[in-house]
Amino acid sequence: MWVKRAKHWRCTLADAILQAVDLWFWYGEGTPVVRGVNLTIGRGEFVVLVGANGSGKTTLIKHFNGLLRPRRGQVRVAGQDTAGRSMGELARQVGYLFQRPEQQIFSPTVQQELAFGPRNLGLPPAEIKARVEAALTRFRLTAVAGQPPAILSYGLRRRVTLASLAAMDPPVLVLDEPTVGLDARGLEETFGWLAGLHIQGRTIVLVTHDMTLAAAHAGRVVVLGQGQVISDGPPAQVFRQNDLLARAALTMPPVTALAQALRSHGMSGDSLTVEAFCDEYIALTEITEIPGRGPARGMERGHEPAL
Amino acid sequence: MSQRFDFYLPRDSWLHRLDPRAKLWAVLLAGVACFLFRNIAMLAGLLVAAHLVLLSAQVPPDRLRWLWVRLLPLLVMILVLQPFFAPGPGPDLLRLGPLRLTVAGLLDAMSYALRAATLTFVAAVLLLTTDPNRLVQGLVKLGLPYTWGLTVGLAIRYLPTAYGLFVSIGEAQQARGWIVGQGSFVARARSYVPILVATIIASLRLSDSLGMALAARGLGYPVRRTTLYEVRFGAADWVAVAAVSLAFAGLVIVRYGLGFGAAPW
Amino acid sequence: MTDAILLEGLRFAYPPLAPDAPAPWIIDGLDLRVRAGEWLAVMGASDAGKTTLCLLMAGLAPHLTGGQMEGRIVVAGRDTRDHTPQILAGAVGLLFQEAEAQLFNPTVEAEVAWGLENLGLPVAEIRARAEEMLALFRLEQVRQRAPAELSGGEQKRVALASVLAMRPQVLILDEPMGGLDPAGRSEVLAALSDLRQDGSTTIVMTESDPEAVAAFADRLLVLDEGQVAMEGSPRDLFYQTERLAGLGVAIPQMVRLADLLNRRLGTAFCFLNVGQAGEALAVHLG
Repeated sequence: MWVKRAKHWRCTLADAILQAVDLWFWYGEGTPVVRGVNLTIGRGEFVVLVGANGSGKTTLIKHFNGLLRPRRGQVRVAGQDTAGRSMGELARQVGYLFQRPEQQIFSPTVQQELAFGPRNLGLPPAEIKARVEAALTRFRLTAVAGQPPAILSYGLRRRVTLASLAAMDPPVLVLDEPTVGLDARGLEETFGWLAGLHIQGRTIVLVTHDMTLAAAHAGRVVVLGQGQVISDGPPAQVFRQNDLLARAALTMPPVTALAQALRSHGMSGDSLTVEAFCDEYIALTEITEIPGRGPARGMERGHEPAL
Repeated sequence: MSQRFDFYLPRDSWLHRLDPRAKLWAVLLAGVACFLFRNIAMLAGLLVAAHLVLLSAQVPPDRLRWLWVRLLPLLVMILVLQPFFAPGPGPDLLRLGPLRLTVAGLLDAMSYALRAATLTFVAAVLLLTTDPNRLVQGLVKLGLPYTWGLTVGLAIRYLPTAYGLFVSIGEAQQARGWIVGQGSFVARARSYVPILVATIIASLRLSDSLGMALAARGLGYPVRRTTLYEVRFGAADWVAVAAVSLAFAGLVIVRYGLGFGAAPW
Repeated sequence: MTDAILLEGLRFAYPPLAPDAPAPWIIDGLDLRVRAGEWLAVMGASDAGKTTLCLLMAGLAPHLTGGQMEGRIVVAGRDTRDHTPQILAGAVGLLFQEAEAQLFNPTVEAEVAWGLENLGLPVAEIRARAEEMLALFRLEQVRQRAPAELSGGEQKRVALASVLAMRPQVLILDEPMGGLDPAGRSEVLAALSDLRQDGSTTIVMTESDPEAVAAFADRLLVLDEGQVAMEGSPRDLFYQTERLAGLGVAIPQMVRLADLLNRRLGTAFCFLNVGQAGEALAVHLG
């Protein structure tokens, strides 16, 4: 199933679905980890949140499903304040995938593990069954449906956690570093799934360190530094700011670094993906392309299979 | 960055410098002393003594506060439940159906609560001021095989990790819509099952990996194990041992010789 | 020159979970020779057997894991069937992917010294080697801190220091780049690069990140279902893009770029990293 780059189908900002208004948070009596963050995410956006360790990314996103409550300021989900709303209620709207999701596995069979979320949402049994079946198929888990997920290999366990989230089918997905520990196939699978969801209109908020992936998939990149938003905009904008990247301890994708290095030769320096670089480079050299030799299917972090 | 809490904080105080074996002896005697007495004043005295010892050893007061905060639920539970389940003789202060509350019952409960608190802070004297590796070496010198000592050390070291797992898994299950900690006592207990099971599985995995890591770095290499964290009994340690032993002997005399301290009040 | 590592006809299966349950061969016929001082990278899909191979080379499998092994492994002159992992620990160092499971001492200093204590070295020697490692991995500032409180990159450096303090002839790294943020990755890359300069240790590294492999490996092995699917230099192998994609192996972004340019323009670029790419394309642009 090939899908076009997600951001070409980005919905217009009809309404804000996640909002942080002057959000402050500190643990216990410690120093504030989130310091006055103002962030609005519109329905249907694909936002990637980046920043150094300790910049407050995880703390910030934990407010979106009610795991954490603001010390100061407000958090709104679908227009309503999260204050006074239970996590169970918010779980209907915001699905959250933790950093080490395989740790949450506890059920005797994969099938029951996938049914856990939908059951908590109070869905009718027929619906639960249908969702579990769909998730098993989508993530190629049908063969192990009756096995205990805890003893499966790491790769399979990760797929089980993704399938669990898929079975809950929330309108908003928040994922905390979902790519850690995934191999190339797992990455492609995950981003194919996310891109598909995005096309269907879901909102996706992803925290990652992987700038290559962020560059390739994000419609919008929000950079956090020391608890504050230090940049917010399209990926190209973020990668243009070298000092910002240094401050946030981020690196740019190799292809972008290359494009910047070749600025003196006429490249704009804005390439976010290999395809974009190629297009620009070929135009620059004015060499005639070999007809019929389009891009080959290759797997590399951030690669989007082409149509 | 995790929010772990380490028991041990390195400092250069008299207590930190004592041999772990001397401290073990002191803790053992003090622990037994807690059980010799039910007298509230005596127990309170031991508790205060433990605090003075800790504070004189440069242990930051907020560590002690941290312990008190964690201890409070247990103490409250003892104070509230104990009097009803073991009412003493004497007039009733309060009556709730078949449950009676008496002054004697209350005093008894206070005694138990104080004992729990004192035991905790006596143990803290050892754990807050002793480098775990030195503690293990102390045990080894007392005859314990190294692997046993290491096991004790690892158990302590991984308690915060296991707790951290429990918390983060609890969050993950709640994020999947699971309701925790509400409703009747039975419902509340049941609500912890998905979290506990997942925590146990994750902990087992971790311990399996740890076992391999220990072997891969030579635990069990067939030579006599040396260590950077040698412990040697010095003059100060003998003084401490003598002082504590004398104090303990004194307390025994007070309790059994003078017959004082058996009752809470 | 003798091989540092020799694998002959290697097959391995973990013990089955129930007596009648299947016990598939995770390693299914592997022959490999690694020369002393060589840096070998092993890539493959997540279930291809990379971690199992690491455990086998350190003797942890089958001694601690149980299971069935056929063929033989000789590491640093020792046959793993005849030597327990503890004995092998003197000659073989293994760095696990998860810091949590291998850093358990109360301070960084204690951690680095721990393995040496197990080997029963004299205290003066332990102290000297620990100092050397702390300096080499720039850990002096954090020597009294608990390893569990450090950042990911620092933890990996502590783990490296603890293992290298034992001066193993063979060092096995299981996904050293795993789970690190960009800062951590550069730290570990720098530490590994120092290691590479040294050249005295034979290194086997399993890795999913192609950039690290391209930077350090002399030789690359691609595993597929417990067998060697591809073997050669990183440059040769990375350019077989279709085959690698089928095997679930990622390639460096620069290789993908070169491949795409070559297909569309008929050029013959073969760079591996941004530096090489910059030079080649600058020349091409004239």
